Amino acid sequence: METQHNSVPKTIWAGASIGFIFLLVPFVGLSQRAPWSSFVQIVTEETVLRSISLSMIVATCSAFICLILGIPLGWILAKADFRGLKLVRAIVLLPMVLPPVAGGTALLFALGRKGFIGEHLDSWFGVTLPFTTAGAVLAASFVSLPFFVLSIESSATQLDSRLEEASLNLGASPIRTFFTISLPLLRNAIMAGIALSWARALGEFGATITFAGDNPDQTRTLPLQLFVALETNPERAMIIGVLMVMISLSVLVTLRGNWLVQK
Amino acid sequence: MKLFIHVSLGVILLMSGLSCSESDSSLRVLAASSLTEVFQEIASEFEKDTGIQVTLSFAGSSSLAAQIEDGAPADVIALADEETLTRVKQSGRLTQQEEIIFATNYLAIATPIGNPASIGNISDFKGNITAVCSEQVPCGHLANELASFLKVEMEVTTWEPNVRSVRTKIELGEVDAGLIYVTDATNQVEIISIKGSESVKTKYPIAAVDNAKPSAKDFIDYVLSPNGQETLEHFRFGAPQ
Repeated sequence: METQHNSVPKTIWAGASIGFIFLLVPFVGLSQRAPWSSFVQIVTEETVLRSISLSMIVATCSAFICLILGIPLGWILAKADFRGLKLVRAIVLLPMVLPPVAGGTALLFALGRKGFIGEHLDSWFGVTLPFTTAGAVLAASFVSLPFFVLSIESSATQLDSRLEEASLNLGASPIRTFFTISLPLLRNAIMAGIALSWARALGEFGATITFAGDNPDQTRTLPLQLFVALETNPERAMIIGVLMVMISLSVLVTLRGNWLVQK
Repeated sequence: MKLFIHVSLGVILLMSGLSCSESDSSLRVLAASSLTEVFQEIASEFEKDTGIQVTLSFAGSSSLAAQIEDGAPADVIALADEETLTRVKQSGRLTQQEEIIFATNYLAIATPIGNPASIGNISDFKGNITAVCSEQVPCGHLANELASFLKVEMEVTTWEPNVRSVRTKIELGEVDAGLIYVTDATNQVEIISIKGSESVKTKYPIAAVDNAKPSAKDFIDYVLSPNGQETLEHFRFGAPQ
C-alpha cells in the first residue's frame, strides 16, 4: 500500500480529490437537508412501500434480461470480427448517452400500441406494453443493458484464451467450452454487470415515465414517486432520495466493490 | 495551429460572454405548458412593440412553482391555477404585489382521430387506456374537480406530468382518451366536449417575481391589454372575470 501511495504524483492526488468531492458534495447536501426524524414514517407509508416493491421487481427483472442478452452481446463485441462491428458497438452503447426521455419515445414508436412492432403485439396477441409493469421493465432494460455489455466486453477482451484453446483441442465443442470454461472465467464481470445494470434500472426515470407512464399500481417506481413528491412535498422527496442513495450504495459496495476491482 | 486554437478559444469566450449578457438583459418568463403557443405569440408581439427580449420557459405549473421555490432566476410567472401560485407565495418570492387573473380555461375529452374506443364521456374511461394530468399539476387538479362535479368515477391508466404529455400520448394513439384543456385541441386529436365542464374553470394568474426587472410590469400589462387579450381569445382562452 505504502509504495503505491508514493508512486502516485501529488498533482494526480489533488485532481482525484477534487473529482471525488465534486461527486460527494450533492449527497452531503441531500443528507444534511433531509428531515431524518420523519424517515421511518415516510418510508413505511403505503404508497412508498408500493414504490419500493415495484422498484425492486423492475430492477431485478431488468437485471435478469440484461444477464440473458448482455452475456452473448458482450462476448460477440469482444471476440467477433466482422464488418460493421464498430457500428454495432456504437448502437449498443447509445442508450448510455441518449437522454432517457428520447429512449422512451423511441420505445413508444417501436413497441407502443401504434409502434411498428407494438401494433402487431396488440392485434395478434392482445399484448400492450406501455403503462404496464412489463413496459417499465422494458424501459429500464433498454437503458441498463449497455452497462452490462460493457462489463462483459472489457473482461472478455482480457481473458486468457489458452484455457479455451486447450478445451477445444481436447475435443470439447465450442458451446461446451463457452459454458464450462469461458463463462466461469467471466464470473466477476457478470456479477459486476448485474450490480451496475440493477442499480441503473433502479434509478431509471425518463424512459419509464415516457414509455410506461405514471400509474400508482403498475409503474410508479421510486424515481417517479420522487418526481411527484418534489413538486408537492419536498421533504418526502428528500427522504425518498436518501433511501435510493442508501439502496444503490449498498448494492454497489457489496457487489461491484468485490467483483469488478480485482486486486 | 497554436494560433488557431487561441483565436478560436477567444471567439468562443467572446460569444459566450455576449450570449450571457444578452440573456441577462432579457425578461425571463416562466409559463404553464398550456400557454406554450399563445405566450410565444404574445412574447413576439411584445418584443416587436417594446424591443425588450423575452426568454420563455414552459413546464407543468407545479414544476415551475418548485423551480421558483428553489430560487430559479425569473421575472414573471404565469400559472394555470391559483392554488399553485398560493404555494409559490408561501416561499416568499412573490411579496411585491397581488397576482392578476388573465385568462380562464376548462377541460374536454380528447381521443385519437376516429375515436377508436368510442368514448362519449368520462364514465367511458372505464376499461380503456386513459391519460390524465398528475394530481399535482393544475389540469390534474381540475380533472378531479370535474369528476366530482359530474359525480362520475374517473378511471385513469397513467397520470402524466403535464397536459402536453397527455395530448402527445393521445396523438400517438397510445391511449384511448384523455382530458386536456379546450385550448390544447389540435387537428391531431378529436375533441368531445363534456356537458357542464365549462362551469368547472381554472383561472390563470400572472405575477412578477421579487426583484424582477422593471419590464416585468410592462409584460404583465401587455398580457392584460386589448392586444394581449385578443391573442389569448384567438387561442380559445376564456376572458378573466
